[in-house]
Amino acid sequence: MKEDKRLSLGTVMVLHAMARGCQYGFDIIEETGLTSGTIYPALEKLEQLGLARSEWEDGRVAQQEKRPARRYYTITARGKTTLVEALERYRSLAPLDAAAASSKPRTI
Amino acid sequence: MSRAPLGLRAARTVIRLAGAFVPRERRGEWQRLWSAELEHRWQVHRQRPARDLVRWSLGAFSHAWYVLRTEFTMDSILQDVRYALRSLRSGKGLVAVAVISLALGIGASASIFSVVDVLMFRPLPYEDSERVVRIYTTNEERGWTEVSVTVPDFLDFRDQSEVTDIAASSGESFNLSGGDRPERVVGRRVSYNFFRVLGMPPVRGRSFTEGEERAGQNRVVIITDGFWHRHFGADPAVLDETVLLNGEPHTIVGVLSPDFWSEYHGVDVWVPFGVTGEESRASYYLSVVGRVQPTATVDRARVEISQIANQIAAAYPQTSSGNGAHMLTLQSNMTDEGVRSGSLIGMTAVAFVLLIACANVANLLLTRAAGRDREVALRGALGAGRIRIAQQFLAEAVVISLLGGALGLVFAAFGIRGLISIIPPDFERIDAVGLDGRVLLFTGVVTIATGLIFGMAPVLQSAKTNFVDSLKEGGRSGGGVTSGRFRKALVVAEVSLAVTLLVASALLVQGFNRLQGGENGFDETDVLTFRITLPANEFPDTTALDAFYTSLRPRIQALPGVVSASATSILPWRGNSGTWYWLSEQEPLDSEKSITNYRYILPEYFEALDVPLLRGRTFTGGDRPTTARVVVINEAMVARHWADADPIGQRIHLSSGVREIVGVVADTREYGSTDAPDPMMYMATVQGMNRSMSWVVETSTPPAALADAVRAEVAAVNPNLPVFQVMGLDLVIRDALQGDAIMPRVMGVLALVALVLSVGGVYGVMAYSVSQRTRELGIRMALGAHGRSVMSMVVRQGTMLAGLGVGVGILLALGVSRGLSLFLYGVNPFHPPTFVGVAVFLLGAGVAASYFPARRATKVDPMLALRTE
Repeated sequence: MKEDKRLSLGTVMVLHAMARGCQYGFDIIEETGLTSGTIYPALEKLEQLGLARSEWEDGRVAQQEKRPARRYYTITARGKTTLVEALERYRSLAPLDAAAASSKPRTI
Repeated sequence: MSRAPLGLRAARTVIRLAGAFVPRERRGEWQRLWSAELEHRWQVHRQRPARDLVRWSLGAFSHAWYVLRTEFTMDSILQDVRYALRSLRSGKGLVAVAVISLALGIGASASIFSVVDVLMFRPLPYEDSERVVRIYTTNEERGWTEVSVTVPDFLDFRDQSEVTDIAASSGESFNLSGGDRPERVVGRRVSYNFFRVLGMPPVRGRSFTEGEERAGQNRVVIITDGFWHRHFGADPAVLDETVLLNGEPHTIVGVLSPDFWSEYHGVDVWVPFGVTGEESRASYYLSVVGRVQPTATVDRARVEISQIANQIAAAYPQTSSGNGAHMLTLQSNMTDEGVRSGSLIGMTAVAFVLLIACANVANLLLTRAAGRDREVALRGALGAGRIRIAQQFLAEAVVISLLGGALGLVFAAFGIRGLISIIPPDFERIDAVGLDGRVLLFTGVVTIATGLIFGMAPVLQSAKTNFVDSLKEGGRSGGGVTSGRFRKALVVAEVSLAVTLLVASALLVQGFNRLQGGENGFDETDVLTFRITLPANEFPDTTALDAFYTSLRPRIQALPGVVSASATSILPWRGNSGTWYWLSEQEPLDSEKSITNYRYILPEYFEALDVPLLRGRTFTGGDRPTTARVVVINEAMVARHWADADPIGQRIHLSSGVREIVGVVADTREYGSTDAPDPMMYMATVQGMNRSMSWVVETSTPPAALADAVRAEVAAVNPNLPVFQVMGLDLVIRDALQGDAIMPRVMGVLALVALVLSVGGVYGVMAYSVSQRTRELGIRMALGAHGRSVMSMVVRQGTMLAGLGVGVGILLALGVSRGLSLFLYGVNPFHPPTFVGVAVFLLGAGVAASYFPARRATKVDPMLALRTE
């Protein structure tokens, strides 16, 4: 899947947050600290690639709680595999020693 | 109901705004997501500051952008272009018309741009060309704004200026001898620093030295690359060779680069001034240029030169009282009012033509789109988003515009050649005009822009299409009434633009005719002219000149077919010459003298040109070098001094002596203007030193047929004299008017293109409307309507469109025609017959354009029409 290789760091973080159970766009913002301008396009992209799935919650639940229905996202099986591969790739960028770390401060 | 808090309301507004960018098919879902997230967030984090919420909501814009972007992917664009090509192939006729329309518009724009670019926008080919300036003498009292500079003034400018390097030049032609035959070469006298100021020193040899500017030391010459090739076969050993200019040996010290360019056309040899120090401060003939040093601005330099000029005026009141200096960049100096105004008019006109072409193509595409309602609806029903469908239409439009642009370039190649051919070769920098990178870039931008402009029309229409209705069997075509109105509005716009162009070109042609026409005050149609220059060594004094003229003139007069024969120092439309004069017996200060134009003429001049004598007499054979000096003046001169008195017998003082007025002749217009004629003073040729005269021979047979006979007579008097510039006086004037013929010709062609395109537009819309209404017309005829009444209905509608367009166009033309005034030469910009004529003409064209669709309408077979659907 060539698209998977193109996943940006932000998108991977979103995927990661979902894998850890975040279901709503808003939760993912809280979890990752990314801006809303990054999160929602990323969610959309993940869905197009089949790495995530979204559904509107049952309207009755929302009605009972007197709020509008929410849309919740879940990671798919393929999303999980992709996440593992992507994390592997980013991990390979991790600093080898302290000297390298100081010259490359922006790694995860 | 309590209002939501400010932060929440602001966030909602932001989301709604961002939603506007989301394609309509996805907007509902998108809005729902964002509202849900907003409420969710609001519930969890009520206590957070409102600006956090607003900041969060701004993310909706990047999300909307993302959605929009993913709708247009590269793959889908390529697919669209392929699809466009395939579907365009199925409508070849329509596409061909669209492409040709566009190509005409784009070709015209590119051609005009190529010239305007060189004349107006492209910097002069000098290093830091914005620092190269021109300096003029001004004098408010005398009404001088751009007068040349005297030699002493120039030297003072150059010596005293600290921020400008100032150089000067003046034109002079030389007799070049020493080769196989004597030749006349165009040259210029220049100050030693002339090439330094232009920033273009010779590439071989050297520039002039300061000492070579002095009289006696200036026997050196710098030649152009072209001259070096023609006369010396590009021999590198040319330096230090000697050429004879006016019989005097000059040493070649430098050869200019092939890229050397100056504003003076055709100059081949450059010789330094011979400054003696005796030059007059009252003789204004130097063309002065300067280069402002990088350390100063042009404004600063302007202040300095004015100060120097003021000092000169104060120091030499006798000659220079009231004089000032005017500095402007050479670039702006070279784009005079005519060029600027002409460029603006030309660019406006091509913009009109281009708009007409766009409207035409838009209409054609609408026609095409209407025929494809079902296809579009089907694609929509099968899941193509509206954006995707719009993209499809745009792709088609861009493909058409690219084809139009490519063909337009071919047209432009011819157009540019045509333009160059009607522009006189001495027009500034005309040799630089061509189909170059800048023109290509311009064409590219115009092509894409037009594609997007006319491509919007079907896009807007498809946005209105109701897929369901279109899919229904027998449903009416999409867009319906609204689209019909839009198409008609396009045609009205087209016609109105065409009317404007036609009015403008009709006015320009009239202006030109007026300039060229019989209102010169003389008759040029039956006159042969030729020139003879008498060498000074053979004709040293007035007696010798008198002998020559009095022996040649009767010989020419005696030729069969000759009505009268005479000569003048300057032919009409071939330039001008002015002199100081005064009327008082005491010679006044220079600043109080007046200027008049003057000519030296032989007897019978006014007869040859049919200029009426109003009072007194003209010159006769009795006016000899030794008899009393006499002048003939024109009405304008009379009006200046003797409006209420008899001028005959009055005396006019010139620096060469006093002359008595013996006659008054009618005014003539002798140069490219229809302003009131200037005062003119005619003097007898033999009462002055006039070695170079242009002969004027009025004939009763075609003038050109006499050329050989004239040569024979001249040879009989003196076999060594060449007779040159032999041509009819009408041709002399036509040559002089070449520059003035540019505007009417260009506008004429553009108006013609506009006319064809807009009449085609009317035809297209009417033809389409008839084809769309086949059923309706069939029903009308089945119900008993006559063919005649159906036909007149269609023609009436077409004429209405044309009429509306004509009405709007007349208003538009009234608004813009004043801008043409510079080229109208006195023709009223609101000339009613022109407006009426153009209106009637276009209405007629509108009727004709709707006639053919109307006739087709009457041929509708009611039964067939009803059955087709």
